Amino acid sequence: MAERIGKHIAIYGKGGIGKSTTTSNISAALAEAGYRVIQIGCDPKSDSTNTLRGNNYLPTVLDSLREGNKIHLDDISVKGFKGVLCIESGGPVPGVGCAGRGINASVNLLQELNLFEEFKPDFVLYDVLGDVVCGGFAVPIRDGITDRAYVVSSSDFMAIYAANNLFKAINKYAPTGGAKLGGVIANSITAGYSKSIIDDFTSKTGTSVAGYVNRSIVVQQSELYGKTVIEANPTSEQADIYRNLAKHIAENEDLVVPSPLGAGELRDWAREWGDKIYNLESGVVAGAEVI
Amino acid sequence: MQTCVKSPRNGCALHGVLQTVQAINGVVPIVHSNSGCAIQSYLSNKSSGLDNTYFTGQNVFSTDAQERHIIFGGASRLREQIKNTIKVVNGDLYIVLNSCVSAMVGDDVEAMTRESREQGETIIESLTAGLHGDSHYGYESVVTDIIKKLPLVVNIPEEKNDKLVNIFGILPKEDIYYRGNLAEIKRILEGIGLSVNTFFSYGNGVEEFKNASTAALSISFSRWGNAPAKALEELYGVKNVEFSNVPTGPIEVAEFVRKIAAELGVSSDVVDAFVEKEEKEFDYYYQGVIDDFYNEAGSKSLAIVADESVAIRVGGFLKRYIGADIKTIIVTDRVSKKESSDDSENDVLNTIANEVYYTQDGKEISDILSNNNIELVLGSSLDRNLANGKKRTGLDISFPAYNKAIVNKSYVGIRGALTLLEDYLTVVKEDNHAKELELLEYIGQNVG
Repeated sequence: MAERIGKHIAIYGKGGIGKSTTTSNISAALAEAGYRVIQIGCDPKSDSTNTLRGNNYLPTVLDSLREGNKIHLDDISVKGFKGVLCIESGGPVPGVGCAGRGINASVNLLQELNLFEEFKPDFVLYDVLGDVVCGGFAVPIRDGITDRAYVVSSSDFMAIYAANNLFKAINKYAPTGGAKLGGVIANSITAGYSKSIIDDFTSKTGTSVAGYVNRSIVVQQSELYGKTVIEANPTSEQADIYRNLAKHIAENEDLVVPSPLGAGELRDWAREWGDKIYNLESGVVAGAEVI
Repeated sequence: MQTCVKSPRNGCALHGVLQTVQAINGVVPIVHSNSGCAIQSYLSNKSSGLDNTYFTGQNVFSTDAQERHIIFGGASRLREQIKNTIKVVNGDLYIVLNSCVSAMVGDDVEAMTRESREQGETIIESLTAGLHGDSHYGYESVVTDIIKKLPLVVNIPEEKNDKLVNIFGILPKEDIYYRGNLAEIKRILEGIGLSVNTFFSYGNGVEEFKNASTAALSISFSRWGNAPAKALEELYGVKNVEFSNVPTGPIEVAEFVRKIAAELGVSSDVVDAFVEKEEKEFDYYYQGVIDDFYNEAGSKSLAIVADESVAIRVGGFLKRYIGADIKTIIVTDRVSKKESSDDSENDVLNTIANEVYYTQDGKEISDILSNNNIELVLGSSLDRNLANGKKRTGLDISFPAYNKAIVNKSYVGIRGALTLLEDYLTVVKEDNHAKELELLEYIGQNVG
């Protein structure tokens, strides 16, 4: 393919873990810093860019494709906060068709429309549906579309399980030109052991943490305003957390091919942490020492 | 384990389904697939010299699903195609066939056919996508589906006919002489006073499937016929008997009719009279070529490359009736069935040939034939192609058979056995004659 214009970054993570919130805040922070940014939501729910564009209506790429009319970039994109170009891939109604194929077709169409040549972005962020359940959802990390991926994860076991699955996909595709991992974005961090769990997981898989995002009521408040934290609460501590994360992602060139845990390893690892947390919560002193 | 198969001769399950339903009069297939599935099936059969039916080739109705039907689901496109098809052609039975693409996407095909049935249409579906197996499995699956789903759209008669038998296991187009073979089996069974549902030969139709439940017996002539026969047994109590192959030759036919007669209580006088008449007819013609096979055919080393039931009947006949020297049998239809290697069919095959192999890989087959000093190959056109572009001498008994027009020839029963004998001896004599000419040419160039 032609030389890539801008840095193309895929952001994955379990459904409901805060991918879209995190991605939108990164986009907003990058735009605030003067970069040209595109955010592409690769999720049939098509709500990735809501907070960047004040919840205004935006036809999805696949809706336009379904109509069968000639498609122009203006029809499927809208400029949001600080000029972030917002695009939603969209998808079929739940339970019908093939959303994975939809992402594939959508990304192809954007390339055919010369999106990147026209907009000349510094950064393109792909906000991709949680688990990499089939080949279609791995499209953004294959075929040289992006060269780096980040995964948003909390310390919840299922979120880490999804992250580990993404590591498997990266591990498979990286040797043939697919994206490498930039790091794990540790989200919804609360006081206590949650940071330790993510740190331990990244060290076991040969990866690193790109940034810690604390659980904060400011995030919820901003979402309810239909805005990113950067826009709604620009002077808050949380806004600075996102700015630092965006800066790290913008500058980080330390990309790795992760070593995902096997099914048995992951289970044993989770069980070990289960015991530690149980001991901690039930007041066993030895439990606290190991954390 | 992943393997690479060179020149596979068996199509996908949809190919098998399509060529099966196309051989039933009055059935209109509607293929829910992307463009190409139906036409590829047609082109494959066309190159093999096989027959057309009304809904083959470009006359197959298809949804021709495009990318948007994959992404958003193709059920509504299928609904449209069902309506359009019913508008433009009259069928006794419409059958919606699934493809790999719609199976993977998970289109609710059943909901579409159910909707059409509720509007009074005679329509069912067979969800046998290509990826489920090979073309043999396609036959087994779709025939079973028709039997099981027909009660949804037609009234199945309840009375029994104690003289009616169903024939399964002779696969349309996989058995390249299926029409003639079915007709010969029908002739034989009618000879002892029975009526026959062949489903796929002259005079057949959806009516035969409807009446299949009233039969006294189902006869399966290969492992691929067992599932439909068992479906009839489970649903309507029609007893079934399984044979490993179609009887070919007077001894085999006599054994066969006696067994069927015993099952159905046909009088032994009727059977004896029929067997005697058939034996006399066979012997009369057989005598005419005795010199030919003593003088010309005795020393030929043969290989048979065919589906299991075809290999057993052709090999068994040539060994028994002319003492053919069968070095090798290569069975080509056991790829998708993982039967144990010590079943009774294997024992039979081992009594016919010195060596028995199971593969459909063109390279492997070619290597086996080259290494065993085979003079004549009885198989498909693929097996007679040599690397240098020359042809091995042989006879077409398997799919695909290129450059051949097939009308109603048979290689089974009594009359079919005589045709097989005639064709085989002709090939042998032509081969001997060609070798004589080569020798004379050599002598002309090198002697005197």
